[in-house]
This record gives sequence, structure tokens and C-alpha cells, in this order.
Amino acid sequence: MDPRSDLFLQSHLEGTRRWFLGQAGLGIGGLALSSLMGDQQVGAADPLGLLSTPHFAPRARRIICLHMAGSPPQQELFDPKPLLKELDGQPCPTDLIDGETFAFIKGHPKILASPFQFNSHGQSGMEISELLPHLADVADELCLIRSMHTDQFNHAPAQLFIYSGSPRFGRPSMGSWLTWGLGSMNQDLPAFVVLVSGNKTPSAGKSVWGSGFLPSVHQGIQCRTSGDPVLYLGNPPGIDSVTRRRTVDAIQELDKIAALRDGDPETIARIEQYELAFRMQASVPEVMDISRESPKTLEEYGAEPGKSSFANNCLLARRLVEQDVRFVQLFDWGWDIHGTAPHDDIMTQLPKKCGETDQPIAALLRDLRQRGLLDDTLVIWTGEFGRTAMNEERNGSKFLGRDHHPHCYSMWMAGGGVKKGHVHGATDELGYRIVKDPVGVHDLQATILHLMGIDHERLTYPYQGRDFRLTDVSGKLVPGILA
Amino acid sequence: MKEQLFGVIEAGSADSSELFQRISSDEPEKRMPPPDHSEALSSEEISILKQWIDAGAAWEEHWAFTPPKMPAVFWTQEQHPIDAFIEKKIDAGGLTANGPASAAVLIRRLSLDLIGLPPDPDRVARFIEEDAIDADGAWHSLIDELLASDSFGERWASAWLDLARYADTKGYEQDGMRNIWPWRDWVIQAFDRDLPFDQFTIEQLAGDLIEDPSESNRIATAFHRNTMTNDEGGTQNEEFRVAAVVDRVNTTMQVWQGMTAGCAQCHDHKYDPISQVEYYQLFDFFNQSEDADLNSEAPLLKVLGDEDKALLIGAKQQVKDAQQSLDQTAKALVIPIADASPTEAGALDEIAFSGKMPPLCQSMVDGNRKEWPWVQAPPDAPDGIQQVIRQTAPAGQTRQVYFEKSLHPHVAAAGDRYHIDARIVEPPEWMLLQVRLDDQSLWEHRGYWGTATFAHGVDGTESLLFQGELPASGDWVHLVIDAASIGIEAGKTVAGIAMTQQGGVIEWGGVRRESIRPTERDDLFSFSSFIDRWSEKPSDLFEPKIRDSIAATRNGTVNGSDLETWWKKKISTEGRRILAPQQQLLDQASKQQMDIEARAVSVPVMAQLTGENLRTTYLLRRGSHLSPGDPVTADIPQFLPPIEEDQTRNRMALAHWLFSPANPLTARVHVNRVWEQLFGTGLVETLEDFGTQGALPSHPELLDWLALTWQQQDRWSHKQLLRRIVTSDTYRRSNQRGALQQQVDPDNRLLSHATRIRLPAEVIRDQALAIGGILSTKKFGPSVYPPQPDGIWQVVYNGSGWKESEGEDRVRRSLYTFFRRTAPYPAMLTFDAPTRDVCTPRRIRTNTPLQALVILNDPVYIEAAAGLARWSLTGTDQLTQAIERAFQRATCRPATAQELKLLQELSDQQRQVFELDPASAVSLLEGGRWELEETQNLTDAATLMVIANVLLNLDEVLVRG
Repeated sequence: MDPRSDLFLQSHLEGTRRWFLGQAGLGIGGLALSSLMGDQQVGAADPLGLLSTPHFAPRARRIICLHMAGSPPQQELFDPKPLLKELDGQPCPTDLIDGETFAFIKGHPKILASPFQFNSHGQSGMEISELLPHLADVADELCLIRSMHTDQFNHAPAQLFIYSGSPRFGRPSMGSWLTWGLGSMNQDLPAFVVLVSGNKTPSAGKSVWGSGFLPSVHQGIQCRTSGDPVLYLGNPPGIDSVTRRRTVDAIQELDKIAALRDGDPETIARIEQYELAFRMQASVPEVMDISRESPKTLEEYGAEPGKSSFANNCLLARRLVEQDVRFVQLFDWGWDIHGTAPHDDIMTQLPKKCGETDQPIAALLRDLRQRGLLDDTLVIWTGEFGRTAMNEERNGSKFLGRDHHPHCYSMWMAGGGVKKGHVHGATDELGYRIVKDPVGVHDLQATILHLMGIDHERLTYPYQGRDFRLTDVSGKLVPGILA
Repeated sequence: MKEQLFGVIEAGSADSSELFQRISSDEPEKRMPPPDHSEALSSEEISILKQWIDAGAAWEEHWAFTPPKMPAVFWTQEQHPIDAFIEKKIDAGGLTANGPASAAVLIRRLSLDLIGLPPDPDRVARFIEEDAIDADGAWHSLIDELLASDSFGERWASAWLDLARYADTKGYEQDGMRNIWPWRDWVIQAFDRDLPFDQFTIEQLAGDLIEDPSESNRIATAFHRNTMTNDEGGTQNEEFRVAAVVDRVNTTMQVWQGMTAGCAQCHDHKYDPISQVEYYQLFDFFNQSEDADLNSEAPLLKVLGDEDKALLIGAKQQVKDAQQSLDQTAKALVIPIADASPTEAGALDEIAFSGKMPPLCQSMVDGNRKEWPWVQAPPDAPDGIQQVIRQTAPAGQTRQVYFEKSLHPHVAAAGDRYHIDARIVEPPEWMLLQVRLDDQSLWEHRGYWGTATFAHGVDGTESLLFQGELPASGDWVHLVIDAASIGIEAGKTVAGIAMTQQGGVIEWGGVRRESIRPTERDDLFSFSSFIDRWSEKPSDLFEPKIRDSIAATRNGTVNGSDLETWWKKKISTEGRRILAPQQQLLDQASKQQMDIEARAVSVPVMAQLTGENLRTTYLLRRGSHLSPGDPVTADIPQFLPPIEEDQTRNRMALAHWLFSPANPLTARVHVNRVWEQLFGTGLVETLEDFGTQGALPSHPELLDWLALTWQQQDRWSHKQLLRRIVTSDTYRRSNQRGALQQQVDPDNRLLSHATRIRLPAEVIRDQALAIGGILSTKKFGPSVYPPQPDGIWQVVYNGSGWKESEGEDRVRRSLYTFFRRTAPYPAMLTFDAPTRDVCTPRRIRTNTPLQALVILNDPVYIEAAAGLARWSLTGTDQLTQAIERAFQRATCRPATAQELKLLQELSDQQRQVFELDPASAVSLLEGGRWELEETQNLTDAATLMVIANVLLNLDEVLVRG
């Protein structure tokens, strides 16, 4: 086919993004173009995905990940330890500190009991803290893991580890891997959306949703609740959508002339991208506009249109997965409670953060359930590591707080493909080390990919002479949590 | 590798080779790879191996690890060797090479490639004329012109910054600021002056180890201080120091050897012949620098701008002169020996300010802690007031002028009174004299004028006693306080005096003491008394050298003259009075010097440890600094040529080794990188991997020829290399691709036509600014903050904000944009710029809707559109003509009739829109910062801006054709 014919142009308008992906993939050295181009069926369902079909039937099609940046204390929320009460204020057993490195604790620290009560909830009888009354109501939806562990105890490396499989910068994030592998399910919205609350981006910065060495089209798009929801989405003053449509038409017409002249498929790809950009100008503000929700829904979430809050972000997450956005990642800042000041105290800051997040999270789970979305949407709640059983007492502070702790922490998942009302793993009596069914970060990643229909060892990307994958060189599926 | 492999191969006989026995075995215990391994060999693969072994198991070392070979000449004298290599393959591929591109395309291509900016319209017109007369001559002079351009270094530095992972912040959680832009300027200058690549490398890797390194040599070493520093609370410095050294090893191997050594950090490299031991032998080269992940980022080099450097030389000379003159006068000065105390009853003593403070006391003006507050008193100041301090306090805030400690805290006598001279410039809310006794009560004695509104003291007592209404502003006033009334009773020792104000502006002349008690301080009046008094136990207030001199007088070794000169300058009442004008000159000169020095930028640089401070390097098991294994010393991996034996194994030796004639990689890797910049794809596509997993070169002989001619004939000159490539016909081909080309060679690896390349992020923006005629040509200096959307910078624990630059700093070239690792300039990221956390050898070009949104809507492109529209309208009132001008400026070529028609239609529609809705036109122009001249038509202007907005978004404009 002559690349300067109209037919050529037409055929490329269909397959152009597939072509582009092939080009980008090939550019890294070794991905066979034919394997990307050969299967014509691929394009239909998942126009941007690498995998022609998932490795096996997916249990979940979308993910909402709720990250409590700074890391909440498991002892106060999900992992009750009565023994701490007995030992409260006493110097901790020495085997807790021998050979250990702490971020801040110095000398011989004292045990800190949780000042909050736990109760059994739901049919499963799951023990959950009094700080999370709304979540306790939906305990039977949760698959709680009390035996998570990591090997990082500083925020930035630990966050990178969870989302990119490596504590160092430069690797693609989980959302990028997934959208690269599975593609987008929506023609008008980005496949990987990030929402941030608490006025701070996470410690590791935008790298936790970066695309690393994967093509940058797979990076997370931060949608913002003030200003343009996506950077540069809004037309400049003086240009309305009618004028914008006309200018995009003119750009596309002129580009078509260039495409016919030069025969470069990239030009045709660009014509498509301008179309998508124009569609996003309408679709993104629409999906981001929560005032379209009923007053009842707003009330259930505790959401207020026009504000920037975690509650609003939870509601937005539901709106986004409803539009089949593949991966929605929420970061909420303010959970790094060390007990160094009045606003950094387990007695004040933790109830405040729980108050901000408990109701919206429960509302999100209920809402997804009601709309039939929870069956194939995986909701993940986590921090980046655990907190110590000991009070930090930095510089003799009288406020209560716990230091960073990598050996164990709690997180939960709900929805697509995980057990309901289930507790996995256990820690010792002091909540210091894992005694049953440990789950490492790479194991968790392997399991999440599995739920999305991907074999974590087979989703690899050749870069700098090596096949990279999200789980690096380890990671084992955790069958115990699968429904 | 070969030895290991051939242990299991019997060349010529697959059946007797263990390798073949294993892969073909039916027994699960014997079979390789083991049955549970996911990647079993197919029967086809097994039979290929069998054939290969049976045929003699021919084996060659990996091409990139053997030295380049100079190909035999097969080209004619008229032919450019590059074209000969390229055309040979085009012929073999059954294709025909395109002819040259049009002159308009060529000048744009060369200009964007060599200087990263489009040519201006006049130059395009001139080139087209010259090209028509003498195409080759025109081309060569254009090359010369661009290589010599002042914008050349900025374009090539821009590419180098990705490799060097340059950023203006330290990375990690805190991501605090770092001053490393002088290194960026060094790189720009190095490219501008065509510093040969070997020297360019040596200075960056080991500039500190050059004998007697210049400042420039040391700034160059900041290349490897672009590693990240972790300031997060609770992190282990050693962990992140090791991470930085690892990064230096990986970056060095990546940039100069095209190798990914990083894998061997934790285990032997899976594919390339680098063992873990060899990795840490490389690590040892970089493990001997002083830096250690400290928050201060020491070691630092203080760097002044060129202007300040010149000023500092002058300032230092002035200090020296003032010091000399003061010393000479002091030395010659004869202080009459006073035989009785000179203070008579009722005379005003000099205890406090007025520039003649008690000897050695510490004086401050707070608010900004100035050490050099005194200025010459104005002529209308009262007698005895030689100097004044002007103090300004913001409304509601207190400011103080004070001294504390002195060689002679005065002992109060009965009837003492304090006299204050001051001139109120702007009335304060109150002013007060505050005295500190040498006891626990500290600053608890105050007399005030005005209304007391402060938190300290109890009004009506000696801690806060009303002295009168606030004096009138404008004239000098003389205020007097009874010392006893504020608790300064006879016999008490006064350790400090402060003049305090809340709000207002006051010129303080000073405080003087009136006392009837004669002084006993003979050491202020006679040098011998001074020695007598202090030689047994010199005061702590004396600096160490003086203390030693004074102590030495006990042994009779009086170095009288120097010590006495010092006494006259610092202690003697009479001496200080006489020397005051000269002392003041010295103070001023010193302040000037300090002010200049304070403007120095502290750049993190490399510094080598020596002697016993050298570190022992260990193999780190699993790459962890907590698990050291056996010690290792610096060396080069075996598969590469050895380093010279008799050299000290340091970074300098490593840098020289990279450029030894035997090194197979350095030149190949760099010429390949330059090739990729000019052709879109490297001869070796994987710029980042010349190892066994990398792509094979498309034109191995051409790569070797380029590498060798570059070393041998061009002497590593970057500009010569560029000239060699761009003078080829291959570079000048047109970019149209035909059906056959598309079918046979869709990626254009044969280069039968030019490859269209989406411009790099920086060039996209720079080009738009240039087309809009608003690009600043200012070079060098601190990074700038062009407009970006609000809320991009939200870094934890770091309150710093994006303070938008003003004036031309808003529109500088993009490589000057402040680069924050955790939140880089968003539009750059959208166009595939990396976050610069680690070395990025290649940017993968993408094509996304977010890119479209940037150029459609980012205010900087609206401003550029306004610039282009404004320029197009100058000299014409015909919209059609202006559209043609705008099109030509944006693309460097005239629009076709079809293109013009399209734009004309849009223009007609938009004219109607703006005629009906002039408010939109006004907003559009405002967004473009375009202030219309009276003669210009609003509708036309806005319409043309819309056209310009379209033009800036054209594929043809975003792509180098």
C-alpha cells in the first residue's frame, strides 16, 4: 500500500496506537514487532495493551488503591495486642532492639499500649479498632492481612518498593505496568489516574506513579481537584470549545496533508492524539464533577463539591472506575505519627485522620457493592510499613508516637477475587514480628497482578540488557487470600 | 566466558559434548534447563545447537568488546565515506536512496540539530538564495556558522544533562535545594569551546586530581556530585553514600562504556562478563571521595560569578591597604603616658556607643545581626558623637542596638547618669534604655519614653520606669537617666547596654556615662600597665594569638612592637580615638569583601581522600552495605583491556584508561550517541547497552570507521564529529517515504530517507519561544522559574515554593528551568524528559494526548502564539499576508495553496467570532501578554493568534523534518 494514499491513512487511523506501541516497544531492543502487530483482535478490546489476552482469567478488571502515606500504626487499627497493655510504659524486651536499626528511637525504648479499644465485627468477627466504626460495619467485605512485611524503613524507599518493586528510583510503577500490559478500557480518559489529598504529594514524589523505563504514556495522570483537573486541560481565556474544535480540526487537516506527503505513521498517531485530547477536555471535567452526584451519595461519603478532601477523592475513585479507568491511586498525607508535638500525637492526629477517612472508605465499598462494581474491582488499603510496639519519645517528648517498623504491618483488600471477612497471617504477642503466613511486598504485587489476570514472571520489559518485572527477582502468589 | 563454555563442548561432536547431552536428555535430573524451569528449549533450538557444535562450534568474542577495525577504503575520492557505507546497504536492500531535501527543510533540520533553535526567516531566505547558486558551498558555510553559534553549547549540554542526572535538588523525600548550576554552565562552555571529549571526560571524572587544579577543573567534578543526597530524618548516611557510589559506577559504565554494570552489584552479571568482584573493583575507584551523604553536601567549592571575582580582587586589595595604613599609623603612634586618671568628675565617659565602645566588647544590631553597623555621624550631630547607627523596626516589632561583654565592664558609682543622643526619624511606639547587670537579673533594668506596650518588666519599677513622653521627631535630642532609678546602684557591674525601640526609625548616637568616680583602668592608658595587669592570666576576650603573645612577655620575650601596635588599635583609649577614622575605613572595606564573598555559590564537588582516610572497599553481598564480604582493590573487569600497571589506581587512572587506544567502547558509544541525535536511532539501537543483550549495529563498519576517525583524525573534537556527519549526503536526504521503503524497511534502519524526529522536550518549548520572537538569549546563571500551574510543588517537609521568575527569566532556554527531582517542570515530563534520578542514556519518544494539551493550552504557547501573530502583522494589514508570514516563520517554508485555503477558512470563521465577541479577543490577547498598538485591529490580532496557535501545534513544527 502506498503510504501516500488515503487508504493507507485510513488503515493507520485504526491501528495507529498499536503501531506506536510496537514502535516504542521495539525501540527498547528486542520486542518482536510481529507479536504486537500480528493479533488484530487485540486492538478491539484493549487498544493500548501489550498482552493479546491476559495470562489467565482476571478476577479483577480495575484497582482502587488507597495509600495512607506516612504509615498508620497497626496496633491502633487492625492488630490488637492485649499484652502491650500489661507492659505499657515498661522498657521493652531487649530482643526487640538487639541488632535493630531505627529511624529515630534512641536508647532503650518503652512499650506503648494502644489507647484505643477493639471489638469484633460482622459475621466474621473481625477485630477492628473503635477508631474505624464505619469500616467495622463492612468488616465482612474485607480481606485483612496482618502479616505484611517490607525491608525498607524510610518513607520514600518504602513507598517506591511497594509501587515499583524496588526501593530506588527509576522503575515503572504498578499502575504503569498494568496499563502497559492490559491497556485502557476507556477511549476518553487516562487509564491510570492519581488523586492526592492532605496537601502533600507522597515522600517519593511522583515516581510512585511514574512510568520509569516504560513509555511515558503509561505514567499515572494526577487529577487535581482545584485548577485544571488535568494539567493544561482547560482552554486559554478567549478560546471556547467551539473555537477549540475548529482549531483541532484545522490541525488535523493540515497534519493529514503532511501525512500524505511524508508517509510517516507518527503523524497519523498525532492526529489521533489531538482527537483524544479534545475528548478529554469534555470527559475529564465531567467525571471529576462530583456535584452531579445525589445529595444522599455526597452525604454517605461526606463529600463536599469544590473542596479538596480524601472523601471527595473516594467518590471520584468510584466515578472513575465506573468509567472503566484501569487503576486509580489515592494518596492521603498525614499518617506519619511520631509523637513529637501536639499535632503529631496518637491521641489527636490519629483520630483526626481516621475521622477524615473512615466514613468515605466504608461508603466507597458499599457504593461499589451496590453498583455491582465490587466483584471485579480490587480495593487496596495500605501504608508503606508498620510502626514499632514502643513509644518513640524523641528528645524526651511527652506525646505518644511510634517509630517506623519494617517487620510487620497490616493492610487490607476488598472486592475482585479476594476472600471476604477473612484475616490472613498473624504477628507475635507484641505485634513485633510475624508468626504466621508472612507476605512480602513482592508477594503482594504478584498476587495483585494475578488477580488482574497476569503472571508476574511473564510481564517483563527488556531494558539495559535485562528483563525487568514489577516483582524484580522474587514474589510468590499468596493463594490463602484468593476467593 | 569462552573458557567456561568450552569446558562442556567438544567442538565437532555434539553427541560427546556435555552441553548437548544435558539439553537433549530425557532424564529429569540431568536435563537442562530443569523441567520446572519455565523456559524449556524447543526441539528446534536444540537442533540448532547440535548443528552448531557439529560444525565446529565457531565462536567469536562479542563484537563490542573487541577493538574497532579500520575498514579498507572502498569509496571514491568524491564520495563521502558515510554515504559509501550507507548506500552499500541500501543497494543490498533493493532500495533507492532519496535525493536531498529542499533548502528550506535542510536549514531547519541543521539548525534544530546543531543549536536546538529554528533559523530566523532572514537567514532562511538567504540560505535558499545561496543554495540555488552553490549548494555545497552554502551548506558548508551554514555548518560553520552554526558550529560557531553562541547557542551551540546550550543544545548539546542539554543532552548531556540527562546522562549526568543533573537536577537543582538533592532528591529523595526532602528533595532540598542544591547549587550545582555552575557545573551546568561549565558543560555549556565546554561544548561552546569544543573541549575535546577526552579532556571533557577527564575533568569531569577526575578534575580534582589534576595537578594544581583550577576552579574550573574542580567545578567539572560536580558531574558525579549530581548523585542524590538523602536528608530524610532517620536515614543512615552510609547507606546512601554507598548508593551514591553505586550510582557513580553505573553512570560511568553507562555513559562511557555503554554497559549496564548495575546488575553485578548484587550478583555476577547474568549476561555480560562482569563478576560481582569486578563490580566492586570498579566501585573502589569511586569509593575514595570525601562526600558522605551529609546534609551539608560537603565537600563544597565556593564559586563566584566572573563579575564578583573581579570585584573581590579589588575589595581584598582595599582591605589590605586599609589594614596596612592602620598598622603603620598605629605603629608610629606614640601614646603619652598618663600619670593620673584622666577622667574628671562630671566628664562624660565613653562607656557605650558612639563607635567608641569599651575595648573588645561584642556589638550587634539585631533584626539582621549586622556586625558593621556604624556610619559617620552627620554634621549636625552633637559634640562627641562621631558615629551613628540607623535602626528601623517594623510596626509592632522590637529591634535592638546593643553590646555585651567587654574587657572592662564598668562598675557603677553613686550619682551615675546615662546620657543618650538620638534623632527620631520616624516615631517609634516607644524607646528605651535597657541595662544588663553582671548577675542573674540579666536585662532587667529599663527606662522608657513613650507608651509601654511590651511584655517585659513591671511598669513603675526599676525594671520598667517611665522617663517621659516620646521626644519630637526630626532634631537631635539629649536624654538623661539616673542610673540608680533603674536599679544600677553603686558597686554593681554593668555587663551590657541596649537601645531598644518598637517600630519607627531612629538614629542612635550612643550612650555615654557621666560619673564622678575616677577611673582606675590604667591598662587603657599605658601599655606597660596593660602587660602588668594581664600577663599572668590573659582574658578569654583576647584572641589566642594575642593571649600567647601576652603570656610570652612573662619570659621576658616581649615582642613589644607587634603587641603594642595591637594594644593601640584595640585597647588604648587614646589610640582608638586617634585611629578611629582609619579603623572605620578598614571596617568598611572588610564589610565590602564579606558582602561579595557572601554571594559565592557553594557547589558540591569531588575531593579525594588520602593516606589513612582511604576506605577499604569490600564486596557487598547482595549489594547491601551491611553485609561486607572480602576486601577488593580498584581494577578493570577482565574482558576489557587492562589499566596501566604503574599508575595510582584512582579516578584519574580510570579516566585515562577510558581513552587508551585499546579501549573498544568509549569512542563507539559516543559516536553512536551523536548519531542517534542526528538520525533518530543509533547505529546500535540500544544506546544504553553494547553488551551481549544489546542490539547489533546496523552498520558495524561505519560505526568503527566513525569511532576511529574521531579518535585519530578529529582528536575527540565534538564539533569535528558533527561536521563529518552532517556533510554527508545521507544526512541531507529528503524524508518522504515511499511504498517500497515502508514495506522493506519500515524503521528506516537503512537510512534510504531522512527520519522525521519528534523534537526533544526542551527544543519544543525553545522553538515556540523563538518562533514567537520572545526567547531570551541570556546565558548561564542560577536556574529560573518560568510560569507553571499552581500546586505542582507539594513536597513533604519542604516549604519551598515555586516563585515565578520575572522579565526575561520567564522565557529563557529550557535547560535553565529549575529542575526539582520529585516534581519536575510538568510540560517537560509530558514530552519525555526523565526525572533525572539516575542516568538516562536514551529518551523514548512518545506521542500522547497530554502533549497536545500542553501546546494547545499552556500559557507559554499562548504567549508564543501572540508573539508570532504580532510579528506577522508588522508591515502588513492584510490578514492573508500575515497568515502566510506566520506559516513561513513556523515551518521555514511557504504554505501551499491548499494549506492556505484551510487556514483562510478558519480565519474567516474566527473573525466573525471575535467581531461578535470582542471580549474573548481581549482575553486571548491578555493571555498572550499582547498590548495592542492603536493602529492595530483587535479582531485581526485575535484571529491571527488562533492561527498561530494552530501553527505551533502542527506535526511539521513539532517534528524535525
